[in-house]
Amino acid sequence: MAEARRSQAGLAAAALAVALAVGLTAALAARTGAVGPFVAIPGAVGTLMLAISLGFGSAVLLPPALVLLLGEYATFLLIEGGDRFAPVVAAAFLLLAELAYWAAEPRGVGGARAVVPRRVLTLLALVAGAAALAAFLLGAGGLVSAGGPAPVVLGVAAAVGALAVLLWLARAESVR
Amino acid sequence: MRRLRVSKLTGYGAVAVLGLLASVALGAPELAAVSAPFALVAALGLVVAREPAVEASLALSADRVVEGEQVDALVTLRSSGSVERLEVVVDLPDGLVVVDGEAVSSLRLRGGETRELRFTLAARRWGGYSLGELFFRAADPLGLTRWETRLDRRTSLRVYPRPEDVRRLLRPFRTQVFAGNQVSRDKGEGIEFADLRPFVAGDRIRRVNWRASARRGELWVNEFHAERNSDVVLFIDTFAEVGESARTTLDHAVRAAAALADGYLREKDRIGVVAFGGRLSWLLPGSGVVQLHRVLDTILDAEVVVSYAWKDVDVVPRRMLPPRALVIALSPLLDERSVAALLDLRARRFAVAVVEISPFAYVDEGSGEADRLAYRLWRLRRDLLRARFEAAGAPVAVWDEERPLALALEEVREWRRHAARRPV
Repeated sequence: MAEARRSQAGLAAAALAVALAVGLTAALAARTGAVGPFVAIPGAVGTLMLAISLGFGSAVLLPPALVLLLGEYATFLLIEGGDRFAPVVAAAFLLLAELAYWAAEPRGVGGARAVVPRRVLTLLALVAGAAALAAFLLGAGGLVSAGGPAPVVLGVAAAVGALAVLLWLARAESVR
Repeated sequence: MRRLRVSKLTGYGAVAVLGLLASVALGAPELAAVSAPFALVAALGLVVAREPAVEASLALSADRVVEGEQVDALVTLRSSGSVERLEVVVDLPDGLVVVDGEAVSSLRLRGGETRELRFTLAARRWGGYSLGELFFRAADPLGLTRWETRLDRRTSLRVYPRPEDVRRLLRPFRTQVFAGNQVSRDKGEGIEFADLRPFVAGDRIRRVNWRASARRGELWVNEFHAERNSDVVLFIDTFAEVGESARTTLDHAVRAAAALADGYLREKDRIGVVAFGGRLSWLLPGSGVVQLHRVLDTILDAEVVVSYAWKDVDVVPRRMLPPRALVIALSPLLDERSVAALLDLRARRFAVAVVEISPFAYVDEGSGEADRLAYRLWRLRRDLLRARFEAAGAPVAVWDEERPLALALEEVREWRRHAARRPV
């Protein structure tokens, strides 16, 4: 099927994604005070890559852009030591990523409006779920932050487990 | 269905894994909270992704239409499993356009559900079309996996050319031996009075002309012209064409051929077709309704095929050109090979009439002095070519979009009337 121009919904998603990336970068930089410009560097580069990628209607640069934006948040956390708005950031970050990939999709054909409302609902549910999951994880992290090596081991196990599950699912999908 | 890799999975996986590892390394649970949803979405997307099994069919309300008419199309879709986002594209050939509805659509298909897409097509150009190649693109609910496939549900649609208005047909000077609607020069059974002659044994009493007999004192009978059919060969020049889209010289030639074939077959004449060009095709002369469909099918297949090989009239089967046949050539007279073939036919004593499909409307005169000079020379050469035909006894009538075909035929008829002394 020929790749075509993006739809109006795709263009709106692209604009929203870039706006969210700019907002996120600016908000994190503003909250770090004097070192704000330093914090904003990876975010700005990530936002630029995001804008370039969406400008060309391609998803090639989206993974590094997302990682750079995550890097900005990691820098922010390194400086600030914590963030009570983490669930909001999680929701915004997922929304940004979803909108960016929506915008990078080839144009939907025909009466694409028929599937847009349902897709928007799915997106809102995902964002709400992301905020809830982040809040839950932060709550659970507070409970086990008693100290000692147990939380670290648990965290590493979770990261490796997540990676293993993703790889296994991806492999199973490619074989299917 | 062909499964496509979407980079979203890579992006989400990278964010999830790097975020979780950074969370552990920096001792920041917020990073885990931000990256965990990405891991969850990626895992969920892979779990819920199922290859769609879509069945489809295409039906048209008619398989034969006339140029300009419309035909309804119905695409029926059915899926055994639920498809969250399904995009359907019906590939349409040039010449068919959607005038109502959409030949492309995005929809959600539940498991076991049957959906119908209806749209109306207008046939902009004559031809034999094959349509029904359906392209599908499906995506899982989270957009992590996409599938594409193509289903071949092709069905044929014949679009006949819009008939031109023809009131009076050109007639060959000699008829054939079969019964028809044309008054023959020969005497025989008919209703058109031809002559008087003395009564001979065997003549029917009803043929006696009593008034002439009373005047002359002996029995005289009426003679009549027989009503016979004639053979007409439509010679379509497919060596070259000029024009754009559905307005080429070949389009006009095909429309004229369809109208002439219909007219002659109504008059019980026999019609044959020769598409003389890079690819030679022909239809032996015949009559009747079936022959009309054969003629239409033959001219629908006419197309300009570029060829540099020299062809003369010898490549046309002999049976294709019956004696006494009238050859009506529909040609833009742009290729020397078709010109030579027509002059050759005339030299072989066939009655040839040329309807020149004028290319002037499609040729720009140019802005420079040299361009204009070349254009004038080209026009002069065409005048010379027409004079060559007329000197050979083949009338040439110029026909373009601005004039009805009937007028061009009338010009040929007039030429033949005034050139009656010439052996046409």
